Amino acid sequence: MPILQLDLATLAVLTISIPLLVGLIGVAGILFQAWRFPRFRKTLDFLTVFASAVSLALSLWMALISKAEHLTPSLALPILGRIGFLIDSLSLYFILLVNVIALAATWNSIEWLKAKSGDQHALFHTLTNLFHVTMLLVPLVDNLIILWIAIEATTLVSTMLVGFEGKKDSWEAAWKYLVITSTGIIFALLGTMFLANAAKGLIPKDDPNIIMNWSFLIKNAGLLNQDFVKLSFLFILVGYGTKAGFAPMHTWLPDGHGEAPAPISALLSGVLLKSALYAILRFYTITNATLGNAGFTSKILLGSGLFSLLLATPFILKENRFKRLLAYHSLEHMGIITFGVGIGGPIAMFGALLHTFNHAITKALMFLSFGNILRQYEQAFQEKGWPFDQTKIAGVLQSMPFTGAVLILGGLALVGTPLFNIFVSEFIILWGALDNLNLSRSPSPTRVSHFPAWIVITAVAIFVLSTTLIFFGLVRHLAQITLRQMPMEQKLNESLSDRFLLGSLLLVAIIFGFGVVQPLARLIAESVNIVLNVK
Amino acid sequence: MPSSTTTPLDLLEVILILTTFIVTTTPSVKQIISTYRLQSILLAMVTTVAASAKAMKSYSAEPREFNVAIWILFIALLPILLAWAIKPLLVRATLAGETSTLGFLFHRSIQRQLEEEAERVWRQYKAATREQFHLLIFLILVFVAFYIAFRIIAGDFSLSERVGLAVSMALHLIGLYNMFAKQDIIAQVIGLLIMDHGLYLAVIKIVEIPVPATFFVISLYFYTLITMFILVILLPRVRRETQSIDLSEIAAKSKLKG
Repeated sequence: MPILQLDLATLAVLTISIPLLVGLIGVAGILFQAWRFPRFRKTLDFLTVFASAVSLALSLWMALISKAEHLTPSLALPILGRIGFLIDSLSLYFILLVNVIALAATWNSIEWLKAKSGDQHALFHTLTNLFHVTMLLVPLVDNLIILWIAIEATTLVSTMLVGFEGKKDSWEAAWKYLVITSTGIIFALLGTMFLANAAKGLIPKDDPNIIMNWSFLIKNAGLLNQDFVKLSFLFILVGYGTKAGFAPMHTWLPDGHGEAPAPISALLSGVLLKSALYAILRFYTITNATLGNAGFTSKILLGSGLFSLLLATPFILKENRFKRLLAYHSLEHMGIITFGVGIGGPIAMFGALLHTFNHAITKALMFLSFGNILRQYEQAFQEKGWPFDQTKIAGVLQSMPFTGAVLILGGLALVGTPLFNIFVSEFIILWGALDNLNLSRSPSPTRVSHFPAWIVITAVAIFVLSTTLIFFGLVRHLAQITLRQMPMEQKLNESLSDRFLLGSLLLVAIIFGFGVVQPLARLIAESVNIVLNVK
Repeated sequence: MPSSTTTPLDLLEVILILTTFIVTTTPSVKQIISTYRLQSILLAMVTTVAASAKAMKSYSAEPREFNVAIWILFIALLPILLAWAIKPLLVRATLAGETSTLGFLFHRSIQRQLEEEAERVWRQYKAATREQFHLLIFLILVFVAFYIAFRIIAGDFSLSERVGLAVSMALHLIGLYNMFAKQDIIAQVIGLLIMDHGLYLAVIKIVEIPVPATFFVISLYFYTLITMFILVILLPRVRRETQSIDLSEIAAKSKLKG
């Protein structure tokens, strides 16, 4: 057993260290102006993709050798003392998610960067690697204050990436993103401090540093002060909810996702929002364990999820730039995930966690394919000397048949069409809601519903109505982009590398449309047990 | 049994609200800066007194609590840091970062020259129009903060802690309102800085920082770093690209709608 622990801890450190090392090489390249040499730029391209691939391979390895138990190896640091890592199925699941999308985004960025200058090239890779590191740190740390620092660090790095294009709109979006999420994060810090106050009487004499460790708090949840825990959860929901894009704190989403370069939009939507969700889930578990049931958290989360879903619908139905539209889909899907967590119980929770993966894959597919289209059209317009605007993109099926087809299929997946991944997770969440309905009518001795039947029925009706309207909204937008008469009669470039990447992501979306691949299903099932605190 | 007596510190905290009113309603940027600096010094005093009292009380009996008090003292440096930095940073934001950050922060003659240029821009600053309306909203927000602290929040808080909680919440709410209701970059920055003060006060007064206090203090320093990042890096870039500190003007020309 000690060998296994050492292995997991070592793998965790390696997973973070490799992109960190490449990020530091990028920093050195900027400081010493090595970006002037094409060979350095090509090496950095290779190293960035290689780091993401190795990090993914290591996390898969960790997922395969892990058991359904908590491991908290620690690292001794000066001043700070021992910093604990938390490696359980839930953290492994989110690490896997981060690494899958990071690989797709870094791979896609190679083509995108060909049109950029040398210094931008080095800066982009440096920031992307550091962003990757910060997002990996979030699910790995045991201490909830360091978790807050890690989430804030993601903001710091990603702001520079949102404004990377250097245009007026990009900086305006970066400004909004930073100001809104920084405001929100104040609440998350206060929430963490309230939780610390709830545990004031529990400080262990032998190692007081572990007082803010999740693994310690969950073991002693029954002894925490309930008033402080409730207050803490409310502040956490507002704070991390702002970062997760919950309505009404979502206003940075359309600007941030819309103006960031496509690979960064994929990372923001695919995994950054989920990092904040991960933090909420950790507090959700402690709150429920302290209060003895999920009634308090479920009501708030169900309301929050439905509000996000409802708010996203009119914005997806109206005319809008396509990348902004995809950002509103993030609001919709975060609403669906929160709806699932709010409904609670093992079925809906499984659906919600599966939905985080399915949404990440599908949204990465959409952002990356539309990013390729945007890049090619912009270049073609420039060559002809025509002014370019996203709304002028049309006839993609003729000019870029493969990417156009992927965009259509990805769009259908995104709106929950059967035989695609999103349909499966949405179906499981609804199944969980209906199971809840049965419980509310005839309670079982072991499981209870937190909602009366009429609330469940209304919630399900809103869910179905919103997703149906959204389906028609996106199909209409997709038809305009892909089928409308194209502005120029020429085929545009679709590189083999991009086709391979988009094809692979689409394949995953289709495979998960037929069921959940077994090792991942095990990881999700174990994660459900952790979130629901089932021993 | 929580204490029901107030201390002179509580009075200082109430003065923080009054200074916030001045900072957020005055039309003069120079006055905004000087009042904000006064507020920072008051907050540093509150922090130092609270930490010293805690340190003296726990010096011999509770070594762990004594360590916490020493860490709280580090928080007193944060408002001082912001008070020192606010003017040069607002000047830099106003003039769109036309000089290097280090040269600007530490070179007195460059600072003086740019300050004069910035003050010319600030004379046309009109963010404080409708100040009576804003003042009314601020009064309502203060009432809401005190109502929540004294009537809604349960738990064993002493009277002094509840005053701290109310003042901290009032600073958060006023800062938040200032950021979202006023359409200029200076008002947004001031809103954010006032919220920072609210956060420091919350940490000092309401949250009895438990062991390990180190992490909390580091997280506060990290948060202040983010604020500095906004002021030093991001704000000048936004200003340079948009050529305006008036956000309503920026929004009117912006494509980021819908």
